[in-house]
Amino acid sequence: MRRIRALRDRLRLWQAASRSAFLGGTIILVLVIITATVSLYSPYSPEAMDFMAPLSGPTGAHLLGTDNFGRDILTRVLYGYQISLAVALGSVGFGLAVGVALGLLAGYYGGLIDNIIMRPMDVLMAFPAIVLVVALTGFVGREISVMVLAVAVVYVPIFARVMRGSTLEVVNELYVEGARARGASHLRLMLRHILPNAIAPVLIQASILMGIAILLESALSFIGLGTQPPDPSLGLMLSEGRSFMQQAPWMVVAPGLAISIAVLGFNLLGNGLQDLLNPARKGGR
Amino acid sequence: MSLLSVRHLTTEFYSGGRWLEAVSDVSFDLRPGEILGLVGESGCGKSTIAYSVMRLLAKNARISGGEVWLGDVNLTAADDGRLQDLRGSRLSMIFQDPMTALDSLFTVGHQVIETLQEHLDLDAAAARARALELLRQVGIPAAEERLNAYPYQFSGGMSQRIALAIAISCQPQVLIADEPTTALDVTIQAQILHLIRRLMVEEGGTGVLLITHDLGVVAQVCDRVAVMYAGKIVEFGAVESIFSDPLHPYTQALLNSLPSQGIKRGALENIRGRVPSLDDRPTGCRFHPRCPHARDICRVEAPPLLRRAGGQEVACVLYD
Repeated sequence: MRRIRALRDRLRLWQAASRSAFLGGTIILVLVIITATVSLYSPYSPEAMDFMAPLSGPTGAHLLGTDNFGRDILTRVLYGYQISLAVALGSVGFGLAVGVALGLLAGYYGGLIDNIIMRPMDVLMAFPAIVLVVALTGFVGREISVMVLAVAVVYVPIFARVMRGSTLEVVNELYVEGARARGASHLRLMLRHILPNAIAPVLIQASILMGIAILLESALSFIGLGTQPPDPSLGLMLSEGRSFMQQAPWMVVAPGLAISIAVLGFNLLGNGLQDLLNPARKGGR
Repeated sequence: MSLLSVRHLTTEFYSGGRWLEAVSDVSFDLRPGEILGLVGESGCGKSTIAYSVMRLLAKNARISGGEVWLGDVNLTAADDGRLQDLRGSRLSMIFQDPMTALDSLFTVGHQVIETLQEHLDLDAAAARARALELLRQVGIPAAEERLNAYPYQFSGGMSQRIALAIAISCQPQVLIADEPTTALDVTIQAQILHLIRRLMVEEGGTGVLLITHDLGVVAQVCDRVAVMYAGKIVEFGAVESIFSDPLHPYTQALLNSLPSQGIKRGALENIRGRVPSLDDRPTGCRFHPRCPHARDICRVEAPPLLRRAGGQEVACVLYD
């Protein structure tokens, strides 16, 4: 009983520290769970066509209606999330790993190494994201893995820049100097003292870029360079539904809302993360 | 025999397109079991000496001359790996602001243990036991619980005790204390100074280089003292002799400007003029524009630091 109460108190503290992170995290978690398990409970397959009920509105059989081929929209949205979340997590994960490492090295060593790392990043950043992604997917191929990589390539310089900036700030802190005075090696300084202290802005950036990755995937699929039919993708569904907006508005409303909810979840998470990453706030003074 | 030997150290900073000397030709020895005070005004180069010895100078600074020997190791020629081995084990440092000298993301226990494991061959349990012992030694109440506390949960005085615990954890030969009590109030200051004296000097035979601008601190704990002015040592000797019989006009002026207790007097004495900036150092003796005894020769010739009767060293033509 006492343990439960302690656990509940701790949960309450976290909630108070950041309601927004809590809410955002919950949204993402719920989305991940229901989309990961969709094949277990969904009565429909995303490609199954019900020729008796094309463009049907929301009914008991089709909770969010059907599209022009009679495919169940709720099922397609949930499967679409799988692709969207995979692209978001994959591209941010990859961009984060490479970008953080580069930014940390550039900020820590400075000088020549900084220039060698950051100047190519500047070049990459000079391209508008969508142009770069379109060029890469158009050139290399239209598989999901290519899409993930293309978005990651856009993200690496963004992460590198944020990480470099916050490393520059932290590297001159007295506790880094102190750790150095205690004989910490370069690697130890970077990984144990600078990385955890400098990562917060990067993680916030990451959660926002997750939302943007979902939008980028949708945009790519919308213009036909991303997910290919008949695979369900939120962007593709928007694109297909566009021609039926008058007769069957649910065809665009459902995937549109779905995109918004995921992006909202990631943004809320990002806004709240900083508080939770700061131990001085966690325990309260 | 000396633990730390600084020989003709010159350190420069790059600023405005040229290299400016912050420390000029400074030499001294630190003996085992003594506290050597390094006093002077802000900007006189005393902290730069500390950072030069630790080889922790900023990127815009360099050691342009001289050598620093820690026993038989030439620190000025040591590479990164060698320095990493020495720092925290044979050579330790504590800083002015204890509140920011600890990493706020890790518990203090973690930070003590980290240093222990970096330098000594200890398993987790042994390191934890040693950390606990260290915290008790520096007088942290309820040490067992406090091991798991974060730095923000400590007061300034307690943080400095933790920093001290980390600094002494590997029983260093030399401890550099850069204004360790400046950020603390007077009672805590005395406690920390006595702690340093007891743990380092009396028990361990460590040499402490204590950097301060506070003559009261020097009188309280130091054995010998070096008085610095504008990047040079102007007077060097035992604390008693320098306080009772200061030779250099700058030391005399410094002591005169201390407020004295009890006797009601008029305005506090001060030293006219101000400390010359790095890019505008006077020729000859650097103190001559402010010196009441300045002669013509002071403007052209920098007096060397020479030993006088009584064992005190002073850099002034008055005693030639």
